[in-house]
Amino acid sequence: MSAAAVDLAATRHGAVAVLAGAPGPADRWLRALADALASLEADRSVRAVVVAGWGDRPSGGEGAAVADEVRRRFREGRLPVVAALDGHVGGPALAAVLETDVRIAAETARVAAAGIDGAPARCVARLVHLLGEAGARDVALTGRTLDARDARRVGLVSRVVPAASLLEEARAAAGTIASRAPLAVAAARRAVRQARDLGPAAALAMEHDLFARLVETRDHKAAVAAFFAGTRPVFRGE
Amino acid sequence: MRGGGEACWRIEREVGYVVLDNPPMNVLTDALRGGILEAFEHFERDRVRAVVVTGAGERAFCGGADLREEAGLAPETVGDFQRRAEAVGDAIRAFAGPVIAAVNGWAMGGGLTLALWCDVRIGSTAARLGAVGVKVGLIASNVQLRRLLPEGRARDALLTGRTLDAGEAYRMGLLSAVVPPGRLLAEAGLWAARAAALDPDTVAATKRLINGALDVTLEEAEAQERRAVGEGAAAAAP
Repeated sequence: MSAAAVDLAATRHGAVAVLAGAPGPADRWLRALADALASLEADRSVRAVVVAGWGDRPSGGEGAAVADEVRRRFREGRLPVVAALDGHVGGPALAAVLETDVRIAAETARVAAAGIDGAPARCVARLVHLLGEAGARDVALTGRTLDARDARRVGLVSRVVPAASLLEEARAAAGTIASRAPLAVAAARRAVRQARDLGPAAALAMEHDLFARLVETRDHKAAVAAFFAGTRPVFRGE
Repeated sequence: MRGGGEACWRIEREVGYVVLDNPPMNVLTDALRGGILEAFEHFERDRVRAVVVTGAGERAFCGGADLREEAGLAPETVGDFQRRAEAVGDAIRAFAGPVIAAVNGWAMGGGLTLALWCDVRIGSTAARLGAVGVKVGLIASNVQLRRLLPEGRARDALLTGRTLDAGEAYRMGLLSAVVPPGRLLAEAGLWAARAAALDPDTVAATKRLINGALDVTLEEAEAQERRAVGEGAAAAAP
């Protein structure tokens, strides 16, 4: 039996794939997650992914190394990812979840980023770039645990929902992304990731270049035609 | 409590306290700046783990620069004035442990800048923050606000110079907590004590990383993080 079969359950809801993890150490779960993401990448009928089960995971021996692999897959992969957070999220799971596109938390979720052994937590650089210094200092320097509302206030999650509706809300968010023009979504993800590091002039040049390519796509022309016809466009990623 | 110009300081259980005492608005004179610097020199020497900075009285944390000193500035002396002001920010950022501003009232102009250089800000319900440079024909707090907050929020505060009450500053992420005035110092002391209980090398490495993370690309910041983690692991090895 493969690790994926043990630690991760994958279900499909239209163009959205949901990966829900069974309890267990973070390294084993992240390994299964990396494998599952690799196979979903190849399935062109999948346009967005929900990943649940981030909380309450002890690191496990290989946690940091596998977290790096998952981060790379999120960053470089084709698929937008919505994270559904519940329980206590920290360590390698936190490092990985900061690379997802949208984070939604249950009211019961908590987050902590504490370093150990004279070293910073392996998500501090990302926290600063994601939240700005105010949020990053609050989260990473005090060692405190943030509840879901505080996590939302500092910008670590976008939304807080009742625990009972967490998966449904995450699926709906992923469904919205999946319903948009796939090439436009991919361009937006790329532009957002690179905008800050490029500086304003180069970032604008990249956006103009992406726009010039998108304006020629079938999906854009279909959306304009649908707008004037008063119908809903069907996007094919072409 | 020992006097240091108009900044009084003391050390209690590995936590340093600095009180800006220049009534009624605790404006920053050269003497006050000198007192703050002296306090941090002592804190470093005595291996203080965390620091609380607050204003004396109930009206102000710090009302900013002394306008009488400022009015006397000439083109040939303004550079020195700025360097003396910067030295305070440098001392706070260079201090190895977290520096917590207990914002007990007005923090405006250079007083806001002082609070913003601190790692964490806790406000009383009487806290009022203002980036008032634009209201007096000057520029202040730009660099700090832009590092702490997303650009939209920083522009709002900087270009309007409007007063942010404690609630709004909390929602914006400029304050990490808001408590009644009578509880402010105890609460800030609690945050400091919690930080003082953490491994000092871990906190110092985390703060160094955060200090520089926005000056480089995310990729470079993450490379620094990996080096810091490696150094921590090497130092922790038996």
